[in-house]
Amino acid sequence: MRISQIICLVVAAAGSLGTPAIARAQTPSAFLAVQKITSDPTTSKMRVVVKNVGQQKVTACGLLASSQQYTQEFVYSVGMEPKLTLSRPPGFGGIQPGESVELLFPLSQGGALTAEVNAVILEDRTAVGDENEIASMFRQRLAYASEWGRWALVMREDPTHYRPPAMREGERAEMLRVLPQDPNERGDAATVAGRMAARRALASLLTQTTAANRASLLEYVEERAVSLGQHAQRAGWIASYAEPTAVAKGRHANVKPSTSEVRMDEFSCRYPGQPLGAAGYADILRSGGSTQGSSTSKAGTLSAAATGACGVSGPRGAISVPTCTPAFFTTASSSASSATITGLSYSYIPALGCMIAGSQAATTLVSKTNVVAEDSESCAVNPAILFNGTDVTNGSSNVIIGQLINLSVTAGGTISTVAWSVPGTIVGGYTASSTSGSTSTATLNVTSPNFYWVNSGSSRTVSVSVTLSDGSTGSATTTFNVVAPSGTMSTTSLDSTKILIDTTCGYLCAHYGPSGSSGGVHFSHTYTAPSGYSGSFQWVQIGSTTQSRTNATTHTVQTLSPNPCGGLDTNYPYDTSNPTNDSPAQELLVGYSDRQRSDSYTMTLMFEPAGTSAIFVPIASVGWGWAFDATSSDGGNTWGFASRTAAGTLSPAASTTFPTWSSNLSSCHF
Amino acid sequence: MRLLLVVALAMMIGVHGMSLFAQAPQACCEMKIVATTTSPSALTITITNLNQPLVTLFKSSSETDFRVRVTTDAGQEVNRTEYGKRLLTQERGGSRIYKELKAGDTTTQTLDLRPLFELKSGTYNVAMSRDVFVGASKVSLEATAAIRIP
Repeated sequence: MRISQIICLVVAAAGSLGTPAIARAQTPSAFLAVQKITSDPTTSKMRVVVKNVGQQKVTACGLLASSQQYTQEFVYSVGMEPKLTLSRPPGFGGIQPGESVELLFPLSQGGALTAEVNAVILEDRTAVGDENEIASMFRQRLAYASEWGRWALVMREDPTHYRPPAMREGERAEMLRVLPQDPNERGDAATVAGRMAARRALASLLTQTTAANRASLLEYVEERAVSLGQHAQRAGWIASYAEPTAVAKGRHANVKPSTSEVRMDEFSCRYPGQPLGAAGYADILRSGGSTQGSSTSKAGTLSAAATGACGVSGPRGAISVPTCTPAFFTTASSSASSATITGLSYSYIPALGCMIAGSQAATTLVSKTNVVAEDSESCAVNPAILFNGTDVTNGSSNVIIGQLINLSVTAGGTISTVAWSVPGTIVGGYTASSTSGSTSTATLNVTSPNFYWVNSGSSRTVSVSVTLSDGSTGSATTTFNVVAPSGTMSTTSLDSTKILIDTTCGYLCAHYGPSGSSGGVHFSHTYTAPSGYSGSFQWVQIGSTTQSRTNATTHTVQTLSPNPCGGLDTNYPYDTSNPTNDSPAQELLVGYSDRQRSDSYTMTLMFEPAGTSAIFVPIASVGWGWAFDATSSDGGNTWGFASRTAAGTLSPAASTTFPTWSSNLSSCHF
Repeated sequence: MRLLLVVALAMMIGVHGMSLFAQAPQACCEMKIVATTTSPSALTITITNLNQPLVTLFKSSSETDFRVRVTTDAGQEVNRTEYGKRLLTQERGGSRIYKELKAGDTTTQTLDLRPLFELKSGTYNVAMSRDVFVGASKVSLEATAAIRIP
């Protein structure tokens, strides 16, 4: 036995924009009951009488009819017109509680007739029944409303421009020729059915319209399109919740095409300077990116009203698209964060005289990539990323570590929220003096962030997501190739025998080197700026020292305060020469019997590229230290070592760690 | 007389804040003092090996590397700040850069006098000295300068 699915859609009154659909723990028959099924072989029709046995108006229903002959979906729709409440025919605008409606369907040949209501949508927009059926009904409703919306745009006229009756009649004839056709047979059956139901309704209206009531017709179509649009947008949103978990679990995405993406062809002009007006839309042929196969077709619409002007001297004029309405489609994957849509626009009909009535529809390619999936109903925007004022959206830029990266985003409106994603190690800045050195964190939730890369990396994709004040959202990306100086840092150090006590300091001291031409620890590097760049290098040393001294008379032991005491090693920078060294020393004073000092340091090589607002960034670093314990038995006149510790073998390595400090070692004292 | 000449020269060339440098006639080296453009109390001291195969010195903190004496125009010694006094009495020590100057080589350090001395508006004479080594022999370099604190 085959199943014949019959959907009856009674388009709802537009007034209620209530709560989202919530599946009720009830059956559809508790709301809409099948009372009678009859067949008429002479007309090949099946009549199904249903009655609203619930407490709310039923705005749509699905019927499942058994048939051995075929499977088919049908659509039956009636208009929505709240003004006609008293004189409405049964079912018009929905089936009221207690009301019965006879629905007429093609008769399935040879099969026993059974029919049951398998889904209903109620006036408060809740739905009951088969989730697949409910989803289909919502899709149909959305398609139905969308089609009304686009034809309302198509039929719109500019009252300030007179057109002769012959031209109007030509337009009407062209519309009647186009309306019964569905040149874009794509989408699921419910979507196609909704679209064609609307076209049939519009064709019927146009057929019955005389020249005398043409204005009333256009007004009615426009009003109804607005009402249906409001209703359908909500319905479309709700449909995503009505869809069963086993079926499409995608996310609703909204697309707002830019002018360049919806390109309208030139139109013939009657005279130079004549205003142009046209409406166009594009059905989305395919949605989804790598996460969705091309075979999955999800209908959506892009529609736009456009105005322009004929060229002053030329015979043809161009029309741009200044505005748009949101288009909805559903990606196949709930985890999809982007999608690619392509499609064709069609059925451009002139609203003003610049386009000759009856002209063939223009075909316009619509293409948009990287659409951020959204659950909102707002339009998507296309932000642009600027680097130092230059648009680098989807482009690639070459930069160097330490260079100021000044980005900004524009999106054609007031940006309310923005979030940047920047790979690699970055800082917002680095400030240093003899008293303090610190980095700041880059602020990435502003429209114009400034930051500096600290490490190199190729093909780093920076992305930005924005939300405009009107709720529109969008994102953009750009790529950076970040280079850094190349080379190595190396060190050598003297052994502990070069920790000596003598007066080479100019006073009696314990000191670590120098010996010959070598300091206690010797630092050098071979780093050079990348090709095409220049810059400068410097050394910065921070450290910590632990010290004590014992009074020779009182044997009191003094320590530093605090002990250990840390900070910048005296000067910022430590040195700018390559190589450099450190031969630390400690004065030994009379009056003490013991003197101890233990230092640990980190020497960092930093690089600053040439250019405005660049900063020094770390390149490489090495940790090292030295220590001694000197004693005196004659009150500090002569000293000897109890112990001494040299730096040993050191391991300099590339580093992205900034030296930071809040004090200076020169301020450490007893 | 010599100092007056240098002051006059400085005023002629119009150097703001300072002006004068002088140098003791050590045979090995030259030590110059020049005011920086950023602050009248900040001095740049340049030491040049004039003719020796190798001159060595240690650079740690300019505040302790140099012996400094500041006097007023009237010859009165300027008081040190508390910080300046502590520098004279505290133990010396810490990191030092061992620097070798071949003949013709120069090394530079900067020193701000304001943290060390109680400088008010006026003109001051600054005498500085520091030790360098020629081989194992210690040589004391000296230089003087006049600064004008606005």
